[in-house]
Amino acid sequence: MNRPLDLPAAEGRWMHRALDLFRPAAQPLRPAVLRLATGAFSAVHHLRRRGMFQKLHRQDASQFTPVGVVKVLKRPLPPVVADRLFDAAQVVNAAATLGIGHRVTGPLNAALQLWTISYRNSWTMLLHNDNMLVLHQMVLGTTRSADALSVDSLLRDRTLAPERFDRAYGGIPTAMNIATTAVYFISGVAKVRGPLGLRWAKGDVLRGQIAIDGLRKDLFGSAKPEAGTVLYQQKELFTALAVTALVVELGAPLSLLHRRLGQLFAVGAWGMHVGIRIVMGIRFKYNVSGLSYLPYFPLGGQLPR
Amino acid sequence: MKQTPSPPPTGRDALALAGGVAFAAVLLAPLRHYWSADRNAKNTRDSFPLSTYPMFSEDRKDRAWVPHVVGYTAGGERVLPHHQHFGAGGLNQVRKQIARMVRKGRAVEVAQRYADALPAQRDRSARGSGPGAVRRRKAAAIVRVEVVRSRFHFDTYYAGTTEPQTETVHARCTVGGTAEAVQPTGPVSARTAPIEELS
Repeated sequence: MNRPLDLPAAEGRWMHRALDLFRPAAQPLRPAVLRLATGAFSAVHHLRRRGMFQKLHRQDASQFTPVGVVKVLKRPLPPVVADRLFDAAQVVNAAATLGIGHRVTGPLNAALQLWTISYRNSWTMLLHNDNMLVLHQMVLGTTRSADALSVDSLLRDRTLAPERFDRAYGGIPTAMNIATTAVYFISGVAKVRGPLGLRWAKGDVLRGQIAIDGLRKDLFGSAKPEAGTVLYQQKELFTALAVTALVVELGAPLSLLHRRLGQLFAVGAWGMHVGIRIVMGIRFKYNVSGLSYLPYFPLGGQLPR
Repeated sequence: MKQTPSPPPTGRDALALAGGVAFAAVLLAPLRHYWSADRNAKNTRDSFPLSTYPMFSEDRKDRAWVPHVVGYTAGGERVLPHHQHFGAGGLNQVRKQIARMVRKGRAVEVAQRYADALPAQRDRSARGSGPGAVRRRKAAAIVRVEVVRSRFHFDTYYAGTTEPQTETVHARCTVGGTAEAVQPTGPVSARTAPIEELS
């Protein structure tokens, strides 16, 4: 499997070029930094919500609407079992983040994160702000992301930063970015596949969405952001906002084809989420933190073509 | 460390590239629901973590009907109680659960849950002048709740007229009492009903 492929010259060149773009020969430091950043974020993010998860686990069974892998259940888990699974996910996440026995803790963490967050989304309301985090953790948990900056690398290689190059390391940020671009691309298609089609870019739907969101916050005892109220009156601005959103989302796949384009996309997408936070008060914490776009800024060198 | 050129493609690399394509295909699979004969597939077939991401795609026009809960003080003042009095999970989760229960004719349970939760607010003192403290003091003064379905026109609302255009009551409950269903007779103009209506 590790022998060079016997390809015709032109095909060989194209494949070599594709590999250097999507799976460059990089050092283990590159995915290790992503493992640490994503794992640390997950630890803080979920531990802060532990109390909320425990309350969710105790809801009336009539609210249980299983999604994804949780569809194996006909009824909710006993609350204590759900609580313990959540706690186990946090312990395993810590071990996987520190790179302790990552061959086991990595895939186990991927499975437990998938389960606990799918379970969280199985109570009538499907939220969309944890998808990217879970997908990234699944990529990091099932790949060689702990060959550096880990307990495993210290024990195995007697160093935190082994100096070797392998395409396996360079492919991990690409896999994470594939997950990122899929989320944005589908969101963009969702907008233009509605009854309005490309007329979504006029901005009326976006304006209506911001309006209903603010209204709901008022009606349910929260407070709608002042920025949303001010912005609602500026009808003309919504066309510019809507066009920008469509360019970022439908153009997301292009971010995989060139490093600078990817970084431009990352800044644009991050800005979009900051705007959503200010105008609508909706927190996509993983995105606003910037950590979800870290794979677009790969650390360490890679072997040249 | 002296850098050699990147290695030529191997079988393992070909497998990895194919794996990447397969991964992308799985992630993009929810797109098929946007070409389905069922126009609501984007909502009914939404899942996790493979989602249709239907947010911001609904054309709301310029108005909306919203099922929610309204509280009334002894003086008839209208107060909007916090969603935490219903349950955990955040505003959107509570909102969806209430909408689902009203649709299924379970508005009485919603009213009862709020009415049972509100006395705890009275036990918690709310000092301070911040928006949270003001909200908690108002919630502590609620003596009756109603589960309603209210219609709002966005332009009117954001121009400052925050009362609903029309409102239908589905259930009501005094705090500390037992909830009762209200047979909707048709939408009425929003009003602040005095407590005497229930005696």
